[in-house]
Amino acid sequence: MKRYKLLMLIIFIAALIIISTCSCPLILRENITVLRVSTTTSLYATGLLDMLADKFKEKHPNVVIQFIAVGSGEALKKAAMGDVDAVLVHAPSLERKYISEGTIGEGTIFAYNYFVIVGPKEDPAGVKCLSPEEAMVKIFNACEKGVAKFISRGDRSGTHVRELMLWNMVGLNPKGKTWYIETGGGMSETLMVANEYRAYTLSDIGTFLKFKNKLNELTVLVDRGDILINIYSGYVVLSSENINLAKEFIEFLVSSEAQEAIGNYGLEEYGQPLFYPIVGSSSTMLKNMWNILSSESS
Amino acid sequence: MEFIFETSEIVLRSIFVSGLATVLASAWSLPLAFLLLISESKIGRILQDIFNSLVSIPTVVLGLLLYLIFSRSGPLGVFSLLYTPCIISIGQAVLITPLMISFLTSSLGKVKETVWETAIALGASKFQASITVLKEGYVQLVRSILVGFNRAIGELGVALMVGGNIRGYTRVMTTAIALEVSKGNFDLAITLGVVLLITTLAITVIVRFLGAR
Amino acid sequence: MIEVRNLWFKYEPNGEYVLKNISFRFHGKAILISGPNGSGKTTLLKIISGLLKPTKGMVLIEGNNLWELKGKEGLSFRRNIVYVHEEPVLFKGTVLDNIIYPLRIRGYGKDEAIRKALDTLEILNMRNLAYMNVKKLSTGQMKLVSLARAIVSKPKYLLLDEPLATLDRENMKHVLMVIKNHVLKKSNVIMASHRTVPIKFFDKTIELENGSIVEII
Repeated sequence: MKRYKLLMLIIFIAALIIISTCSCPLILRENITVLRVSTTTSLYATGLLDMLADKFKEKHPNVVIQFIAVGSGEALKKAAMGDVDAVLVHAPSLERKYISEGTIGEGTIFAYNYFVIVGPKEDPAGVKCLSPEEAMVKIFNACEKGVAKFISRGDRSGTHVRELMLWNMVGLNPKGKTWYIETGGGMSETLMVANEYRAYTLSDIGTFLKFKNKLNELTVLVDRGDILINIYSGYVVLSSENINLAKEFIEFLVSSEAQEAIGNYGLEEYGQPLFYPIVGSSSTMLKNMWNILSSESS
Repeated sequence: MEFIFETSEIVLRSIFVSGLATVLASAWSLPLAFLLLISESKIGRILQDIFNSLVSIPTVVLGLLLYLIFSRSGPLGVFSLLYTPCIISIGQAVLITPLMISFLTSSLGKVKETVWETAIALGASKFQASITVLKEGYVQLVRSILVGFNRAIGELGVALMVGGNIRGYTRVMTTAIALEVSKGNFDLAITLGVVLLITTLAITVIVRFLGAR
Repeated sequence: MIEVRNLWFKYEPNGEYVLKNISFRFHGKAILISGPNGSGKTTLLKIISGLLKPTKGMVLIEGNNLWELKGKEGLSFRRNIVYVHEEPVLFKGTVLDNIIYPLRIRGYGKDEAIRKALDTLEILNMRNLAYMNVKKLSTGQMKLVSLARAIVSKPKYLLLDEPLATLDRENMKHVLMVIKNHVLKKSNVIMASHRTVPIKFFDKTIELENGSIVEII
């Protein structure tokens, strides 16, 4: 038995050595600082953040920004756990909760765009060009009649939170209805399902544009209305060790250089921008919208 | 062109991370599986049952558990291991341990039945008999290490939860595929999936080739 | 000198006893354990060689209880007793690889081990098989190789389980010759066999039936 124990001890020590040698964090290498930013998959998937991070790196060569892309709920939760230095999300009601808990500081709005209600080209519910509120009511009725379906993300993402808010605002509850399909998945998967079923759904404009050529059955039906506004905010995590650097990054997002890049992003590819910069727009209007959205319960 | 470069980097990282995970897991699974084989006690049998049932643990669940442990607000957060390739290796090593032990005990078990008793009957000590069993069961050993590696490199839940899928740092094949799916780039995702399968196939073939003397 | 005292054995805690109250003493050179299949011969041999532990009772070899000796002392004593399975398990490699095994684990150097192994093969008239891969052997040859492997270390006690089963007449005579002329010079032999063996060969015969001794000759 003795030789066994010796062998196991040697193997254990070897394993320990291996673990410890590979666990030298980036920080030890020269004087590189790592800034960890959690964000949402839909925002990250557009590629905007990597572009902005590269620009930031030009000014701050010894900073490495690492983006961790998950759902809005998870992104904010990671901030609460202390695992990230900053958060970029677009779910005002969740953001307010975490602000009040002291996890994150006051938000800095750095971009916005609109959610869109998309649906089948035939539009059985007849919602084209209506206001978002009217559209939701008509969609509900059409679904109840059996001529339409609605697909929800069902995953507490920014899009899902807004969808729930819309239902709430018009006083309707689709939960449990047979025509209300919750995918629990990402935006692109949800759009695919909507395409399959020729159903209505709420989407962010970025994902829809990117995916348009695969979605033959769907088209944008409603894209106007304050309630559809999608506000992107950046937050500093108050417990972060790199709080000053995080602040610098958030401030960079609203600098003229970054804002110009944001406004031009996607223009070439899709013929329309994916995001609107806040410089030049009414920042009061945006702040008001944020307040309204964050206090709406969903 | 840049795509090929980035993809190669991801493939190499996957191999390295999962390879390290397999080395770690083998380091403690092999002796443990062996001890379980030669012990006749009840505890040994209970442990074997526990390991057999842990094989099916969902990777997301394990990933979440590890995340909670290594998060800055968690008990082992002081090591700052979260979102590093290292923690993925550790996580995957934990993931494949029950699988390797289960595989080892069942495949070596047959070898042990015959070879062990013969060796002891000829005068071998327990240690010598163990070495003989390992030599005779070499093929099963290699196979179980390969099984562990393939499971590690193909898992998603752990790599995603504790690695964070950070571009250029912790992005591995499986998390890259998941990202492309969420972006809607299905074609790219499938391409990457095929690359992953070819990689594992190549490694399996190479190992078998080297092993057949 | 082997003494078996009131030996009882069962495989499962709530099973039937396979050996019931076996007692005998043996001072001689060769002892035969005979009896039909299933009478407990293999079990008895395995217990004497220390592979199985008695459920009740004890086995004393030269006054020593195998299960009470520990560590280095226990190991070196156990090495005096070699058991050969009825169905031989050969290790991967050549015939020679197998035969040098007992010597190598006892600490012999490779050259010396090979020398002794070749000598043993010579005695058994199998020198020509030395470098053959075991996969290519016939069952009869495999049995002879396992015998050679057992005797090469010249153990004090050699326990053979059905060594003559599946052998043809010629090989059977050959094996018995080898045992008589070479093995018995260095080792004491305990053989289990259900086949008829020339009894004058053995100092004592113990007949088992259903786990109990029915006759001692």
